[in-house]
Amino acid sequence: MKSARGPAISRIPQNLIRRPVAWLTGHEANAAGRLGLFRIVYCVFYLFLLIEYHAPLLYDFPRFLQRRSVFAGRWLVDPPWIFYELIVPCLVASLVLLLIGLWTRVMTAVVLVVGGLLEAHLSGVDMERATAFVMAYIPLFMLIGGDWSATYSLDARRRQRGSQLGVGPADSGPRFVLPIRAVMVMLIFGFFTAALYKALPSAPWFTQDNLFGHLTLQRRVRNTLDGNPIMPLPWLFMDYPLLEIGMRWFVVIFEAAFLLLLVGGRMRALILSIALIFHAINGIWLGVSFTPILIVYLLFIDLEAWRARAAAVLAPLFKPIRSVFDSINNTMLVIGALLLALITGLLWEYTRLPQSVVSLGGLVNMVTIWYPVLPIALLWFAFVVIDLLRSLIGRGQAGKPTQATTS
Amino acid sequence: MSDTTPNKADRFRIRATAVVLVVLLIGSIWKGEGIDHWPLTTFPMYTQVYEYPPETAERLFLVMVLVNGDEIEIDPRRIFPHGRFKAGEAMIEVSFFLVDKPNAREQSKRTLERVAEELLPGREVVAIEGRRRVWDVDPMGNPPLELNRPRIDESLGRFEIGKGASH
Repeated sequence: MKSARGPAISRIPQNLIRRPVAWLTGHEANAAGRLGLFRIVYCVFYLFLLIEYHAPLLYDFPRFLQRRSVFAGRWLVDPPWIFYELIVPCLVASLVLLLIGLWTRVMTAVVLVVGGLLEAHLSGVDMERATAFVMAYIPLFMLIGGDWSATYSLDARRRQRGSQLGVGPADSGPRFVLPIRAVMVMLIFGFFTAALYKALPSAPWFTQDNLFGHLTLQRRVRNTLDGNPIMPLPWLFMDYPLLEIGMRWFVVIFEAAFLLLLVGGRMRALILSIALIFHAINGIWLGVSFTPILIVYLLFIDLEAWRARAAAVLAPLFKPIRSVFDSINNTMLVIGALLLALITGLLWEYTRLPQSVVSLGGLVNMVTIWYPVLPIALLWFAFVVIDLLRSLIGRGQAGKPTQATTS
Repeated sequence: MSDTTPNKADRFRIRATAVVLVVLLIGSIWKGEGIDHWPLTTFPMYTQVYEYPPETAERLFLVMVLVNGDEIEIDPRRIFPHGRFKAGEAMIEVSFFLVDKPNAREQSKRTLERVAEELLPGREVVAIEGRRRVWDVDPMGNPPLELNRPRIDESLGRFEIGKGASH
């Protein structure tokens, strides 16, 4: 008995380490290709977020109105004015180089440090939790555990020409999976703790009177003042208290259900599609400015599969561009990338041209960006539910004894 | 066929990621007194209490007076990004209301001057005015208020760029 129990107990700590590590490095379809494409989308999204940043205002921001931030308040107090003048153009130039994929690792570090400093200083003005992923977690995990330069980057092309072995988009080695899973852990933790906060006996979530009714009405007033769409059916939660209580429970269960992202497969798709619908409704009608978190969800979607489908149709159109691109040597591309980064940084500082390009002439803002997300997420949700039902029905039929076996 | 077996570099990446994850997760729970923990933060969303909206809604605005007499209105809630609404409004309050703290008031006015430079580049702003508007609200109405018909629309005072405020 003793000898049988001994090895089992000694195996426990090993399993405690092995299982999380196995999960952190588990299979993700097209991981290398996804990370390369995600890098490009991430940079464009980050540039879009930077449109609203006016860093020089922070230099003169009244000290007595400032809050103490864990980074800006203690580790970097009162930098000179030049810091605030240069920080956004430097970040913009680094993002352009990261988008192109030149010196990707160095640029990831620069984006992490410069973007982190910018946001840390802004957190002295007011705290914004949604930016933690864009400005800290994503570049941090890409830097320490990931490699988003292996595909769709100038670095990858230079390595291939330098006769090093290339990486295929379908590669799912640990360095491509780790950052995806690490960011997922932070997202799960964020939402799960939000559910816990609400469920605490001291929290006002379940005890206050008509939370969603009052919230909806408050946000209708605010959205009217801001010129944003207002929630239709203002009486909905006021006249139907059961619906209102149901919403409170739904939100808590939904946030706690982020734990199911650990399971993967269809369950992950289900939670992510509901999350996008949840964020889109909040963003459009409730004026909840959680837009910076949108980018995180793209990390969990197989962008490479989408690209491959699009390429099957559009490849002939891009063939001439590709042949021109292939004919340019690497040195010229590096010089071109550096010039583009420099020019974009300068134009960002002295004109509104790059901002106008990124926001499609002002068409895309923190609210309108959710307009296309909502129908896409609803469609995705419908497909996932249909798929789940099909699989359940299929499993039921497979479990049912057939005529032949019963006879 | 891709190789998913961790090599030496991968093992280092795994360890480093695991350590950082643990630090971030523990840091998210830690609450230092009076310190904001960006990016070590959880999401305590919707933990505040929501009341039925009051019968009136109030907003503060900045009016930038150009050298040719034209006026451009700026919503102070758009000065700082991503929902940092309070800071802009607080600066107007301090610039135009706070008479017992002259240093704070001057500092806040300097920031408003910089707002003019940043948000209206190339325009010569000669004076900045604070405005307060109040609307009657019917929360169940469609829309809940008439944006073009505020009940109160008053000046909080103005100051010329580089000079003191006047009331």
